Amino acid sequence: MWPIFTKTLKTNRIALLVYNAICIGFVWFYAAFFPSIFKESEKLKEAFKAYPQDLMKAFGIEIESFISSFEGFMAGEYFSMLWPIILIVLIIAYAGSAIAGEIEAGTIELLLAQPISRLRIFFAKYLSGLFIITVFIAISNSSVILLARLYNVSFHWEKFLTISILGFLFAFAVFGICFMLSAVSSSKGKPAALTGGLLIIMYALNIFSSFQESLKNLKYASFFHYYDQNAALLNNHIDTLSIAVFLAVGIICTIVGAIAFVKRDIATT
Amino acid sequence: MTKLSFSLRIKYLRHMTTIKVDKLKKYFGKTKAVDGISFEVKGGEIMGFLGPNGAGKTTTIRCLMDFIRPTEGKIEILGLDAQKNSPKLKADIGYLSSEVDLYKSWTGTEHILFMERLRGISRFDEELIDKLKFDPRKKAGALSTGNRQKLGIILALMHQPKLLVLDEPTLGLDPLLQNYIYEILKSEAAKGKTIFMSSHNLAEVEKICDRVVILKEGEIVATESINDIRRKRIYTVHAYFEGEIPKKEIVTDGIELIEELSDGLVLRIKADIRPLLHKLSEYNNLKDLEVTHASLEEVFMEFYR
Repeated sequence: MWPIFTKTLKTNRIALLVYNAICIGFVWFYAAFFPSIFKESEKLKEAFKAYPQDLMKAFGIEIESFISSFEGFMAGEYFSMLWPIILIVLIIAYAGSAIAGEIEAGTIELLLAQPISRLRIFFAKYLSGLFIITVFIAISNSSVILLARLYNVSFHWEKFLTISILGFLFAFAVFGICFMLSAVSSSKGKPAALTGGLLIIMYALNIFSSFQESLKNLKYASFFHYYDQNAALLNNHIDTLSIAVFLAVGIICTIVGAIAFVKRDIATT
Repeated sequence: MTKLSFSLRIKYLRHMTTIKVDKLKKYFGKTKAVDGISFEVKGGEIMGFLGPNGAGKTTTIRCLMDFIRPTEGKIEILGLDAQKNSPKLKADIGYLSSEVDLYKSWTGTEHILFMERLRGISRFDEELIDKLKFDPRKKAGALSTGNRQKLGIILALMHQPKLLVLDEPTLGLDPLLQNYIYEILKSEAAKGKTIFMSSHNLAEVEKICDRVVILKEGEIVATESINDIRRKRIYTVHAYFEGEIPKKEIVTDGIELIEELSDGLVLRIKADIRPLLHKLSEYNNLKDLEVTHASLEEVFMEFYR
């Protein structure tokens, strides 16, 4: 199992570096930019009053804290959309090809012909993916702290730890779904497309639910409702329901994926 | 090991059943791929698994390797259930696919080291790389078909398996490399290893196999030793006549008309040829006669009809 784990990490190290470099680039920009935002906070507050408040809320921007604290700024600017998108792309790129990609390429037979059970193959790749996600979250969010210090921005490090935990839980659920789909597919495009499509629908549901009272319950079907970056960064809080939903989806999908992979026929051509 | 104990070991192996397939069925939805086949492969023998495209050869091999699961039936390898004991059995099985798919960015060496680590053993014989004239430093993505097959053979043999399962091992290879692979397989069989290989290359099967299972549309049509197939009485007779050709009198039960010539008949008979020769000798206008024993290809084709 460990040779597969280390082999997977080695194969994905460049991608991990690239994703982190992208995040660090954006964080650097925001950390450098925030002091000037903070200086003009009163003027910006007036300007934001002209924006539709519901629209701002739908996109996760709390105006007051957006311009008055680094946490609020990052919650609205970085952790509301950009960071989750990069995280989702990393997850889908890895998970979609972890098993389905090997079946599509035919290399799965190299593994299946070895004296190692399918369950071990599954969990070797699964744990590699979780490790990659953890490393990404650790590096990308550590860079926020380091770069904030560099630009003498005032912040609370424990709130960035909280958003890291929330981000991991969100990633755990998304990864579970995509990995499960990878385990039952024979080409990497399908799990990627299905997971991406599902998340787009969830995002839309979350947006629409905030515009109309009759649609407000739609938000419970969306991961983006439970991924409350404002609560994590402003209040240092993760809702118990969010933890429960993400863990439940992640665990159930992992179990279903493992069983499906063990039982399925695997034909490479 | 002394020569005597080695030959006794081979004799002992030949009494053991390495592979036992019992009423194997595999359906993909409503499509029948394999329909109730049963056969055994004895230890130390080279068994050919012959059939045209779509006969069910690869499906059977994938069931043996537990890549796909039988719809019905049972497979035992080395006395163990092939599905329930799959990881344990793979320690003693070397597998070679018809198209060897490799990790394109890895070199041959990286593949070999990875498999060694997965198996937890290092029994790799570097002499094999020299014999095959394979450069393990090249990346798999840059290898030709032949070199990919060489690496596939190395990976299949590197852990000294008891059983080799090969799916069309010489597909797409040049004759020189084909012959080299035959030598390797014969040498492995001489060491007591069992080899189960699928093929639709009749010459290859005749060259190296001890026995052959012939598959047609998911069913076994014959299980024969190569020597028995060679001894099968199938003849082609060219009979040439002056004037009238007595077709109706000659082409009777058991005699098949292959072609009608302007001055004769081409016949096939799958039995004792003497009655036909006796009958033909009674015709005064018989001017020439040519009798050929059927080639192995013609014998095999009989099974496919």
